Amino acid sequence: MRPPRPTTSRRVRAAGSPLTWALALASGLVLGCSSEPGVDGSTQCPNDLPASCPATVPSYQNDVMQIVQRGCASCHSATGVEFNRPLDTYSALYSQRQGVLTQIYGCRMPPAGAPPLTSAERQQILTWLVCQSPNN
Amino acid sequence: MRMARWLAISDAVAVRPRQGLVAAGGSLLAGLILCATGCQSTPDPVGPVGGAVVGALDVHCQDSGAPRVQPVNASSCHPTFDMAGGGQADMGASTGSEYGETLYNDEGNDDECKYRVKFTTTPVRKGSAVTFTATVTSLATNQPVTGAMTAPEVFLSETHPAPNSGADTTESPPGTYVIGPVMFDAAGKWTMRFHFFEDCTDAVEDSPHGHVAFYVNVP
Repeated sequence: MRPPRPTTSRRVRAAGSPLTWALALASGLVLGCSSEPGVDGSTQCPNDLPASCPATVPSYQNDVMQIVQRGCASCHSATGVEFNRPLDTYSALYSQRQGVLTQIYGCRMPPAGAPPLTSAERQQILTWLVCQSPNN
Repeated sequence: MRMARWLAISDAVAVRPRQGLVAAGGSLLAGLILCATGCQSTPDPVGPVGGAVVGALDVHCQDSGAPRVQPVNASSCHPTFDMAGGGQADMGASTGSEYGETLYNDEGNDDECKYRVKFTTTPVRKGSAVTFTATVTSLATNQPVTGAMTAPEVFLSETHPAPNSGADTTESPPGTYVIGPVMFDAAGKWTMRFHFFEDCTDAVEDSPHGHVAFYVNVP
């Protein structure tokens, strides 16, 4: 003869089953939905390209040149390993503006191991590029 | 009272651990199935499908009818730039941009004539997740190019790159690279540039580094 089960135990199991369902459903939704392609910003690399050129355009002389010098020129200059793709002058940067935009926006540059751009630097250079890269 | 309830919970977990696991697993599976059918915000799009833009054949690696091939040397991936030792500076393709001309059709050679690249896509539509499959073959050896870590660069214009969509690349079988998801957020004539061995320098002629770009129509 089996001993009688404690009534509290039965009550806990009865209450726990829906709870398990709810938790598992929630986790399933979270796990499944977060694996969708990340155009909604769920990827590590943000979709933060300015939709249009703002009224105040970042200055090449005052803003962009310093960012490029700090973040790019150690490789992309005459003495760097990417000396055939220099970015250390305005004309060089302008001639490669499309590649610079896609590489920075896609978080492929600066490369892993190099000091990353700050959010403010990233926004400044992306905005300047979207604004047709003026020599201002 | 509190202790009695704790004991009861322990008892419940101990008495039916397998049922609990089964219930949790089943619930998780059900959740995932519900998610797969329910959490997509938009239905699969329909309508015209784009793809490679048909046009002139790529002949930039032909010199007076003879093939021009640039052999690749793995040791030139990270050179020491001792040009006296035989390395040649790579000043880019001879014509067009420093990446070479963008190509029509679904196959062509990289700008420096190192690789032959063919690609296919899943249906190309604005707003859809598109997967590219690129097959890369060495022009020098006619063998699959493995370990190229092919990376996509996708743009509509010089100020309009494709949205960041978490695109990833897997290689299977050797020399075949599956890249996606790629998202096109506007209709038009896009450029899809494949980069190969991007961690290798592009400054030496026989470095494995390479790139080729194709036009892709998005209706």
